[in-house]
Amino acid sequence: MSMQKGSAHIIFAGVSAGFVSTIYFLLLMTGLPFIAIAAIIGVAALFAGWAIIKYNKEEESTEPLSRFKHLILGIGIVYFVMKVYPFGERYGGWDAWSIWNYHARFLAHPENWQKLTWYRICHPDYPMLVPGFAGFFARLISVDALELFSFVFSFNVSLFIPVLIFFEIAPRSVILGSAAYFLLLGNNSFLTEGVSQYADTALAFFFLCGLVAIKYATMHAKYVLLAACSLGCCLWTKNEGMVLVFLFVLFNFRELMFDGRWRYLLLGVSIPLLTLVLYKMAYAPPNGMIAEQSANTLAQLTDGNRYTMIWYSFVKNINDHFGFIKLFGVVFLTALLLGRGRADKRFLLVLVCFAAYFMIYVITVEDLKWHLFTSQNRLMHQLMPALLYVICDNLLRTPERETVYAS
Amino acid sequence: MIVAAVMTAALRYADKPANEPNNVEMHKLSRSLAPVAKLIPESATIGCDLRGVKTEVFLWTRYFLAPRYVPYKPVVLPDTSLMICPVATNDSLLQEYTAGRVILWSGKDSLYHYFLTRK
Repeated sequence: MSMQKGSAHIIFAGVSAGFVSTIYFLLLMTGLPFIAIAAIIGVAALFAGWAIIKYNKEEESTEPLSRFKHLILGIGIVYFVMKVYPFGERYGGWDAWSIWNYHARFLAHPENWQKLTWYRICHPDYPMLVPGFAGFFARLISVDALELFSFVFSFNVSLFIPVLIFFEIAPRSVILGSAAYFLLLGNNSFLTEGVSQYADTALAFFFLCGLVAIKYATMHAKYVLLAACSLGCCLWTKNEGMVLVFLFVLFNFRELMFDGRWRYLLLGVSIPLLTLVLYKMAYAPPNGMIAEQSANTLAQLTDGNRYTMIWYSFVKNINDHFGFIKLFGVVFLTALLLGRGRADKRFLLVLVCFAAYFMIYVITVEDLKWHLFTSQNRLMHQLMPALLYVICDNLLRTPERETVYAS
Repeated sequence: MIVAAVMTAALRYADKPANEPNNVEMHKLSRSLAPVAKLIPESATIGCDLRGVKTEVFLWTRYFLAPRYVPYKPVVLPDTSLMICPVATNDSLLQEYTAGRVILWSGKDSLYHYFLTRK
């Protein structure tokens, strides 16, 4: 079974937006004027479009969605548009105007963008995929409408997440696919974070894209390229993306490296990785979390109270924001106990990512209570769509995929 | 379907009133600071002198004046500075705040007085 055409389109659209932003930032660092940058991005987009039409003539899907499933999809999209409206603030949430959109305002001015690194208090060490997108289109169309472009990007990735899960799950089980789709669309926490104009939803989306694409990696190299491009976008979206990408490559080493597939991995991640390395080495201040580690870290690692506190906060966040995952978790555990399918390595990967985030709090140099309060729900938001997807996918495991993904 | 959804959401968002508490203030500040943004070049550094105003106002000022550099609590304010104080500040205090400086522009809204001054 190959990837659904709709899934491929969604991943491609998201990755394209990510690459426009990444290439824009890379060219900003060269000091080129905006008109030249826009022309290069335009030519690159045309070339990418031509290459796709020329080399991608195969039918993606062997099981196109039925009219009934399209109807469900449409109802969900309308429901999302109606429900998300009250959650979208005019200027975004606190971090939007103090970090992400603030950076975008600098990136909309190629002559002055480097000034954003002068403010140590507004996290200039963060990667710039989300600000880059808003900055590029704001400069291209209207700087006064910067928040609108940021909102459109947030809206898109928030909608793409449940739609992508639906595309992947519904062809095999319309009940499970619809349940995951509507529970995510109707989750207030997901919607709030989704249109807050932060970068967490974008990271959640790109990580999910990587997990979806890697499933088909051994069938065709283009899926390795899609997965690699998604991983590249993860790298350039948030610092946590580096942790996710490292673990992803570690868990999927065979699918990404063997049989010459490493070339596609390199091709996909090269531009975002180059942009990240250049920015971190030449412009960005050191990351506080890493730079401020000291001998105290060992004491933190052996302090049991920290683990307890993080765990209770984790459970509280699940209960307060991600109640839907408990339902899927119980069903999945029951299925495992009954011997219906196994947890594949993508499921284990997501769990290890949760564990890695857990350890970030253990060694944080910030006040733990404050750090948990201000960010744990967002970090969990980054992984919840991936967890939901791998649970659903594992519940529908077919013998065909057992050989590829048996852990 | 997705394109239609995005266009609908974008149009609704563009017309959306700023009615959340922070956003109401930000929207006012955005309109009040528009003349300052026209007067000060994008490459400039400008001070922000808050008098009896919450710190968020600095963050919002910094946001709306970007890419101009607005340093946070500098030891010495830059030559050109924007002074912001509550609209209820009495005249004698306002005079004291701006004493010895040339007023380049002033304005007020329902929340704050704004004085763009230079040494």
